Amino acid sequence: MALAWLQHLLSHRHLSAYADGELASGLRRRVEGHLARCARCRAEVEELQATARTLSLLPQEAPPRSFALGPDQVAAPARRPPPALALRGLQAATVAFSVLLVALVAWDVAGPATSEQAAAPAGSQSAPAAAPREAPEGAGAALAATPTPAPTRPDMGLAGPQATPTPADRRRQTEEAPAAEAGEETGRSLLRIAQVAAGVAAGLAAGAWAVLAIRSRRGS
Amino acid sequence: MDDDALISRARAGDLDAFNLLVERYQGLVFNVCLRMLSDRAAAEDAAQEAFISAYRVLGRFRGGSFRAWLLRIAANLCYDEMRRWRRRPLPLEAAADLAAPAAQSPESALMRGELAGHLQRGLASLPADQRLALVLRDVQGLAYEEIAQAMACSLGTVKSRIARGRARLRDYLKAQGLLPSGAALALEEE
Ligand SMILES: [Zn+2]
Repeated sequence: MALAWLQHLLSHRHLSAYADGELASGLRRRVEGHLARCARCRAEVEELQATARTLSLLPQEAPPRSFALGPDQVAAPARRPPPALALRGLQAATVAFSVLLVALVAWDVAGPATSEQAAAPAGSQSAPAAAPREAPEGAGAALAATPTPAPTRPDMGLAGPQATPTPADRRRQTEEAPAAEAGEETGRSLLRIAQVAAGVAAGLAAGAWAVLAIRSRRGS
Repeated sequence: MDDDALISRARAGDLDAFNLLVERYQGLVFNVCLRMLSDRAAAEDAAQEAFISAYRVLGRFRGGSFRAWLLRIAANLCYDEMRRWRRRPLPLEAAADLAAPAAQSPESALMRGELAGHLQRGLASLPADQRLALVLRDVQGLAYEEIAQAMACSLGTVKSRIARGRARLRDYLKAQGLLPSGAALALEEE
């Protein structure tokens, strides 16, 4: 009894393939042996065959036109280069934003001591137009700021314009330390925003690149 | 001339040779797309696009059944189209529209047309993989082995897709009163 039920379960899932004559001979004989004893499976085979027969009544429709290719349809492999170009562009964008992110984080971690050196490359990357004007100013500020404990941020435009190598100015700068600190606070939050923006941009570029790469692979 | 001879000529840039292949398989490709998409215009576009991309990537054909390879390209285009529909719901009347192309005897045309509409709606209710397997098997009469090539899957997967799709379609047709129960069918035969 239990054996018969087991045979029923084992045969039942092969009935469609059996009806199609697509079972290997060993399995086919086993299914036939079960069919001889199981009315339910015999009825199932009848139904599945009737379904297949009914489906085969669907008419074959004539194509509405010829799909033969003309020379114009063939001479247009222009669809392939754009994805490749886009892929390369997104790859470059991912690398660029990642480098920018690393530079911004490095600047942040390295802190005020190296801020002058870091300012030049980071500044030139985020705002290339401003770079030539800022570089000499930064150098001057570095000279002026050497004895000052408060860090100067030439690129923030706070200490930079005022920095000239006179003792009076040096004193004034020390007095302005709280203001500079407030400026640094603003600078830090700006830096954070820039870091997050670079990270998000790198992530988006990498994501878009992955989607495009998968699509073009699947399409080929 | 057989497929392989035409393929090698087409690879050498002979467009006429390729168009002989198009002529040979356009009915098959169009009808598979039609049953997959339930929409004539979409099927027309998919079939045309299938032949264009087949010509472009003909160099990648590695032998075996050319029509299975062609059907795989067409099926992928149909899947793409259905994915676009998921974002913008498909026209539900489409299946009903497919009911009947005007035929000779009006009465039998009506019968056939109604049945065709039911069958198309039944197919449309299946998951796409089961629908494709069933269309290739029962509407186009392909063997399991060739279906496996066209669907890029194993023979076992073809078997289970056909079994599940056919059982579901059987239930659908029964619910529509278009299929007598198996017991009645068995009696008819005796
Ligand atoms: Zn049984």
